This record gives sequence, C-alpha cells and structure tokens, in this order.
Amino acid sequence: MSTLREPLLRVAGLQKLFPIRKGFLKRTVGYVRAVDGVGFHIDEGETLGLVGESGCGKTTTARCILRAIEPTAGEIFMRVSGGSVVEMGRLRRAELRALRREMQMIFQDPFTSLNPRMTLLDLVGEPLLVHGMKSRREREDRVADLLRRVGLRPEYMRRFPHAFSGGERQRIGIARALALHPRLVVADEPVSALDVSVQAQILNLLFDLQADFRLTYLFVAHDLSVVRYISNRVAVMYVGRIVELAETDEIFNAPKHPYTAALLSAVPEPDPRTRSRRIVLQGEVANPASPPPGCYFHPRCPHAIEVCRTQAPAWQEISRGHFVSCHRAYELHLAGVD
Amino acid sequence: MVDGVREPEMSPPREVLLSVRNLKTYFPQDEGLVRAVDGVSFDLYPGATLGIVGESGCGKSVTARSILRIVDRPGRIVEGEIQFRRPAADGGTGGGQVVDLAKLAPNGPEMRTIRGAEIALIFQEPMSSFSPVHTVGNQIIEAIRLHQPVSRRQARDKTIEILRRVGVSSPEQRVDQLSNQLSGGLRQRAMIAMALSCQPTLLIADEPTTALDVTTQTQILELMRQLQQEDGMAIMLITHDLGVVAEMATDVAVMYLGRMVEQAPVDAIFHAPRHPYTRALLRSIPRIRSRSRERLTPIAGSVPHPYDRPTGCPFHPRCADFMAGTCDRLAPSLRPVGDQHAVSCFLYE
Repeated sequence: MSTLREPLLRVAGLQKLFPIRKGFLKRTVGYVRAVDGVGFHIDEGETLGLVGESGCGKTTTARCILRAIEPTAGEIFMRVSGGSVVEMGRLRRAELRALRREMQMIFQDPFTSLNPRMTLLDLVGEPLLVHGMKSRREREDRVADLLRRVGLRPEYMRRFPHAFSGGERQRIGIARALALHPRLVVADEPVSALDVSVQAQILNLLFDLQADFRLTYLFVAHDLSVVRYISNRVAVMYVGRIVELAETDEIFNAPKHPYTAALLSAVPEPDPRTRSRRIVLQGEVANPASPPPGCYFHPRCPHAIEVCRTQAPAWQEISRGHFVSCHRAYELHLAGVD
Repeated sequence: MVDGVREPEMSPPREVLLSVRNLKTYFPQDEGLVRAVDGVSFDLYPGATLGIVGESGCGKSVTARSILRIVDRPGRIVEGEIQFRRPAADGGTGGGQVVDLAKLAPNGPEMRTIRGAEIALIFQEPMSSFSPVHTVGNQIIEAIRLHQPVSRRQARDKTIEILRRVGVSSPEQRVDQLSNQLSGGLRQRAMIAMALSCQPTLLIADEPTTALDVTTQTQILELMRQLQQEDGMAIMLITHDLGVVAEMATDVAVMYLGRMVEQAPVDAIFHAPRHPYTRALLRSIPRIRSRSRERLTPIAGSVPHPYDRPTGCPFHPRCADFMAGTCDRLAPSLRPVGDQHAVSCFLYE
C-alpha cells in the first residue's frame, strides 16, 4: 500500500487529556490520558481498522481527527482536494468548515443519530443546504440519487426515520455522510447496533461505496471479525496508545504484541470444533487516569519480564509495515488465528 | 419432540429438569396483537447448556421471562406448559416434584420460592441490575436471607465466600462497596454471585456478556463453565452471538419471530444446519479466520416489525428457498429430521 504520494491523512503525536476536577474550586487534580501519543497514516482509498476495548481511546482518536473535540497536542495532516497538505490545528474556522466537507462520520446508533422530526429529504439534504445548494429541485435530485445509491427507494424521501428498520436507518446515515462527496469517512462502530443478519448488508455496502467513490475509511470497532473483513491495515489500541499496527492478514496471522494475541484468542468463533484453550487475561484494562509504570499492559501480560515493569517499550518497525511496541517483540512466538 | 441434550454415558438416564411445551406469550397492543412467543417447545437436562439464538424480536428474552413469570404487562402466557422439576426436599438429585410454572400465580408463594432460588437469572446490563444506593453485599445478603433460614452474620460470610468463588479479589472489602464502584466485569461477577447464592438448578443467562469487552467476556464465560461443572446446574443461555453459543452450548435452539425454527446439538447446528434461516445466518457473519476484504453473503431484507408479521412461515419473505403457495400460506411445524435434530420448514416435510 505504499505510495510515493503523501497519504490522505497523517496523524502524529495525537494526545487528548481530560482534566479531573475536584472540590468547590474545581481544581485539576489529574488527567485521564484518553489518547496519549497516537500516530498513523491512511492512504487514499484504504481502510484502516482501529480496534480496542472500551475506554482504549479509539473513539476519542476519531473525534479528534474530525475536530469534534480539540486535541490537547499533536498534529493532523490532511491532503485536501487541491493536492496540498494542511495541518488542521492551524486552520481558521472558515477553512476548517470548508475542510469538513471532505471528512464525514457514520455513527454507531442509527436510532439516536437521526433527528426524528426530519424527513429523509431534510436529513440527507441538510448538509447540501448548509454547504450552499440552495435550489430545492437540485437537492431533491441529489437526495434521490444518494438514496438509490445506498439501496433505499427515492419514493421514501418524504418519510420520517421511525418508519425504517435499524439497517435502513444506517443506510440513511450513510447517505447523509456521502452527500458532500467526502474523501475520508470515519465510521465509529457502524454495525455493532444492528441485527446479525443485517450487518453483512451494511458491510458490503460500505465496501461497494468505497470502490465507487474512492473513499478512505477510518473504521473504529471492537469486533475483530468485522475489522478483519473491512480493513487493509489494522491498528490495535490499549489505554490510549497504539500497541501494534500492520497489514490485516499479517496482524491476524502473526501478531507480535501479547495484547493483540490475547484479543484474537478471546474472540469466540462460530464453530464448536474450534473451542480451544483461550488466553484468559487476568485483571482488567488499566485505568487511563493512573496507568501503571512501564508498559501499560504488563500487569496483565503473561510474558512480562522485569524491564516491562519499569520502561515503556519503544515503537519499532519489526518487519516492513509492521509496527509494535513491546520489549519482547523479537523473541516471542505468538499464535495468530490461522 | 427433540431432547435438550445428548445423554452422557456414565450415569443412568437423568430426569428432564425443564420441559416447555407449546408456550405462547402474547402482548395485546393498540396496534394489534404481538405474538412474542408463538408455540415454543424444548427440554433442558441437568448439567446441559441450551443456547437460544436469535435476532431482535425473536422472542428469546420473553421466553426466559415467561419461565420466571416476570412478563411485563400487558403480556401474558396464553397457552402452553412449563414443567419444572423442583429439587427433592432432602437435597438429593432425583425425584423432585414437577410443577407447571405456567399454572402458578406469578406472585404467589410457590413461584416466589422458585424464582431467584431454584431458577436464577443474570441479565445483560449489570449496571442497572443492582440498586445504586445499597452495597453489593447487602443485596446478595438480602437474596440469601429471603430464601434461606440463616442469620445476617451467616449470610454475610456466605456472601464473602461466594464473591471469592466467582473471582472477586479481596471480597471482604468489595462486599461493602456500591455497584458503581465496581468495573463492568466485577459487576457481572457480583451478579453471578447473587444468582448462584441459593444454588439454583437452572440458571437463565440473558445476553450475559454482550455489554462486556471481549477479554472480560472470556473470563465470564470461563467462570460460568467452571461453576456449572462444579454445581451441575443447567444453563439456558440467551444470546445473539453465534460465537458465544458455539463456545458454551451443548444444544442450540434457533428462534425467529417468536418461533423455534431449528433445534439440534451444537455441532449439528454449526456443521449440518438444515433450516434456510440458520444456514443464511451462518453464511452472513464475518469470521475472524476469513481472508480480509472478501465479500459476505447477506440475508436480504430485515427482521419484520412484530405488528407486520408475515403470514405462513415468518421467514418466507427473506428465504432463498421460498416456495410460493406453500410457505406464504401455511405455517410449518417443528419436525424431527435426524438424531435430536428438528426443523420447522416445508423443505423437510
């Protein structure tokens, strides 16, 4: 996937700290290190899967990229349609707003993310109106087009979202996200609220739309099977940091970080014949307000040695395009899923 | 009717613990009658785990609530039997008295001794299942004292012991904490502790790990399996996650819109499924072992709204093997197609 061109999105040293305030004077007594030094890039037309357990900072990372929340530190470079690269933190409001056309979000819950008082025409047409498409006729044509593209009938345009099932509502959300021809789409758990039999429809749709519109996806999810299906590359997060990043088949077949291996082995497979001995991790995810010293994963790691308790591991490229931060990455032989 | 479990070779044939026959639980609504559970039958044996799988609206949770007689109004059981074998008075394994739970008054004395003590329930949401203003310990102590003639002191010791057994570290301190002071995994352990505090013979687990992270899920499933081996209770595991079912169940029942469409031992469900819905469902799910970026085979359409239940076989509008004139007019019934394997589909009639 390497190209000579600048990637569409490049994130460096991203950090988001949430202050913990206490007492009458609301003094800051500490910080939740939700995202703590995250860096990666996404090439145009590629899907990067961002996985991790709840509280690992994957959603906060996505929101910082969209500037839905302000990062505490770090840089986010986006290659805009003209070809030039801009750093989002340096943009003025108007410039940021123009850039927002190019990056859109698909949300997890199709039941709460659509305004129940708006028709499909209003919901999907709203971004068009906001970005200057004043003619109603033109908007209707464009909305009809978009609805058709996501597998809904344009005749439904005057209906309200409550008349639709979860899968159909997710299609509406996707149509709305695509209205302005975005180049980067951030999808935050887009299928986890859907029925099992409907998930495949939405995943296939995301796949087709990517090919048709040359979309670039940042796909945030906790379900590793879904991530394997959709992603070109996968980044695994643990307590605010990326611990491993590699091409999808590489990370699933030959994980180098013990956390990735444990995560993979924990996924229950829909096959009773593969019931195997799972890596049962002890304890729970570290608290991002007071992470342990050294490697954040060491209290739960079955392979931890002395150095893991005191020193944070470095981020290293162990083979071409395969990054990991583990002191023992070169010596451990961890099992993947195949 | 198929049996809920393969008989183990070692012991003489055991007596069925729970036998549900043609259960129907309906909800009359202004918009029409919702047939949430519409003729469900199954058997469950001691030590077995029956996985009940289905998507939203299939009636899996209402089935569980019907057994416990805690169906929300205006829903009620309109037909069917729920034969439950109560433990023998001497505490022995066999020979208890069989009662039809469907005939008992939901809040009568007999149902109240059974519910929580002989049949226990754990839910999906451990956050909302504990009172936020009482300590976790006090809530378990209350449950124990409700069903057992022990002193407060003894109940507290018992609570600490059972919290330790479900893997809660330093239970002497945890017992005095509020539920919001515990993490999701610990809260689920505390709920399991409460459920097991009276040694139930049947544990109903309704999506017990859905709200948990995958590494915590592994811990909780492992714990349930270990406790079952020690206590020999039967588990009715309700879930939408086919992976969790494959991991835990000895037998599986697949539900769709209030009906049981297929029932079989776990290996047959995953390796020789017969019903078009089961087959399509297994084909449609992304798998961790698949190659990346390979197209999935989805099921067309979506689960119909319960008010718009299709005529005939409820799955026919989405079925690849739909036979016009039959599937849309007549309702198939559950018929045996093999050893302990039953399917409700006209392809097999």
